[in-house]
Amino acid sequence: MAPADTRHPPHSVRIGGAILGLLLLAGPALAEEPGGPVAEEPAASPAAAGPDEADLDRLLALLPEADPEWGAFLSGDCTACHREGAGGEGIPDIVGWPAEAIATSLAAYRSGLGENPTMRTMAQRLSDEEIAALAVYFESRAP
Amino acid sequence: MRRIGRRGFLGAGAAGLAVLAAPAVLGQARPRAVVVGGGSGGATAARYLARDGAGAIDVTLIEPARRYDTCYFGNLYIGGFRDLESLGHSYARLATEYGINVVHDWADAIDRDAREVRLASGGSVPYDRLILSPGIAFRQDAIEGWDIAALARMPHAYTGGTQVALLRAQIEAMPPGGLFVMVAPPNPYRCPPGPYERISMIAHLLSGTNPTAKIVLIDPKETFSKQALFEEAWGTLYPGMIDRLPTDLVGPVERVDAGTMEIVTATETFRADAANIIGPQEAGRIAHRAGLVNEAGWVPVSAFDMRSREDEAIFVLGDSAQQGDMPKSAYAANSQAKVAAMVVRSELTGSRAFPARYANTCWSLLGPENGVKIGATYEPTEEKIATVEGSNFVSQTGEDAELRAATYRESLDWYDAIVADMFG
Ligand SMILES: Cc1cc2nc3c(=O)[nH]c(=O)nc-3n(C[C@H](O)[C@H](O)[C@H](O)COP(=O)(O)OP(=O)(O)OC[C@H]3O[C@@H](n4cnc5c(N)ncnc54)[C@H](O)[C@@H]3O)c2cc1C
Repeated sequence: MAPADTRHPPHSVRIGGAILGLLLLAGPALAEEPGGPVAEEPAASPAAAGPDEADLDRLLALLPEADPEWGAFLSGDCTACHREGAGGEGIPDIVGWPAEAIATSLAAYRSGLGENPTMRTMAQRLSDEEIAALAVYFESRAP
Repeated sequence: MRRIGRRGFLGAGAAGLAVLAAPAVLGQARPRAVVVGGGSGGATAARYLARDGAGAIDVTLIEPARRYDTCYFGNLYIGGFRDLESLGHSYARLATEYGINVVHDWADAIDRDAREVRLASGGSVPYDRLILSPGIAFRQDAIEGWDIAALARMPHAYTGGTQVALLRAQIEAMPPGGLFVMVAPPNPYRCPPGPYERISMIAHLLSGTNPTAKIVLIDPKETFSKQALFEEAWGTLYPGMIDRLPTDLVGPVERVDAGTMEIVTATETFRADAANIIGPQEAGRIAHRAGLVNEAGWVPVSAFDMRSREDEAIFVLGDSAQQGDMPKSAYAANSQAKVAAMVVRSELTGSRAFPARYANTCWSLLGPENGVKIGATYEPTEEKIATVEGSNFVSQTGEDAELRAATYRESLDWYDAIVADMFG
């Protein structure tokens, strides 16, 4: 069961050197996967092995140069569902999350990891630059 | 709690910020954006223009109602899962926190040459850019006997609030073992899964209070959204209660009679104890009066910015727009509004413009804690807003209760998020 309070950055899970801050983004559908949270056993599903480590490093290296104003526009895709101040069990508040956590989560969804089809679909069309822009935008709005 | 202006460019309520206004590209004090219709598309567009414009744009929202009653979750009210109060939203914060001039009036006409919106009460409002999001209208004379007077006994309940309350009261007043009849609309119409979610919620309500009642659904379409999911739920949760009759079986609805409560198709006559007629639809009337609609009654728009193909100063959002592959949903209207607001702001203030993108997800409730969803992402093409290839997803039949409950919880958070995105 995911912790009820989802307002804080996700618990991060280290997989092969990469930090996957995935648990809370995915919500209960992921956390309650039979056999334990998927993020702890990524090898269980070969199609969902998570992002390649070198790819993830390249993505994270984009963060210092990323464009928060672009991220602000792109965030329109997120704010229809992710509400600032949300405390429910369904969809977490992502405002103020560290850029690395957002970027890593989106990269994981983009690679097919995580059960939530909405998040996988949303992430699949994002380029590295777009993920980085979103990540620094949400971080910039930290309380 | 809402925070604004954290990094400057997000702006703040317009009131104190007029002095910071960017140079107006159109050579006047402040460029004027007018939004007609304060629903899913219009409220979002007005709020984004005012928030991101940070005082540089004079934003007026014209909307007759004092409160917006969402259609979404109206079916959950019928099913007994929501109260009506929780579905109503005030325009106050758009005025007090965002500095939007909220004018409670009807837009009666649009003078496109003078770039003015005329109000029903007599005044007029000039605009540099106009955004229309007036929702749907019902085609007049589409069903014989279903006129304005008939709505008291045969409601559509396809706008929020009063009509929805009326429908539920009429279902609750059905005699034991009575007959409820819905006439579903032809494509295209507002909220593709809406009629079928409603059937599920009515079946849930009647299962508790009137278990021998029957539901007849007369449907002009061969197939419908999330069909496998709805039909599975109807068979397992409400066995024997629901009869869906496609019109290739019973023929099209020829007339209705609100006095006798008869619904007459080519081959059969139904006498209903409660009836819900969801007639054929078209763009909101003001779009017709502005001369923006095509023969089908919808407003063709560019997929790149939701701009009317008839008038470069007018953008049309949501249900009224004929844009391509997106369904007519609140999610879609909200998504389109953010693109249009970004483009309008850029044209009025010189702010940066970004390539358009769109998304949609629609949740439906089948029974208690039993939610399903469908969605996709979309991209602009010359011809239309097109589904991003391979992006469609839909819940599966046979999902376990845990996943269905999680999907339902998601829908609750979506509702809170989208109304916050509209009204602040
Ligand atoms: C039963 C039902 C369930 C639904 N469930 C969902 C759901 O779960 N998810 C989802 O995404 N969508 C859902 N929808 C669809 C959603 O309600 C609409 O698609 C959405 O609201 C369309 O937004 P809009 O801005 O085009 O129109 P609306 O939200 O209808 O707003 C139009 C506004 O314009 C105003 N207006 C009209 N004419 C004028 C004028 N001349 N001058 C001034 N103001 C005017 C009206 O008063 C109204 O407030 C549902 C709809 C129904 C009927």
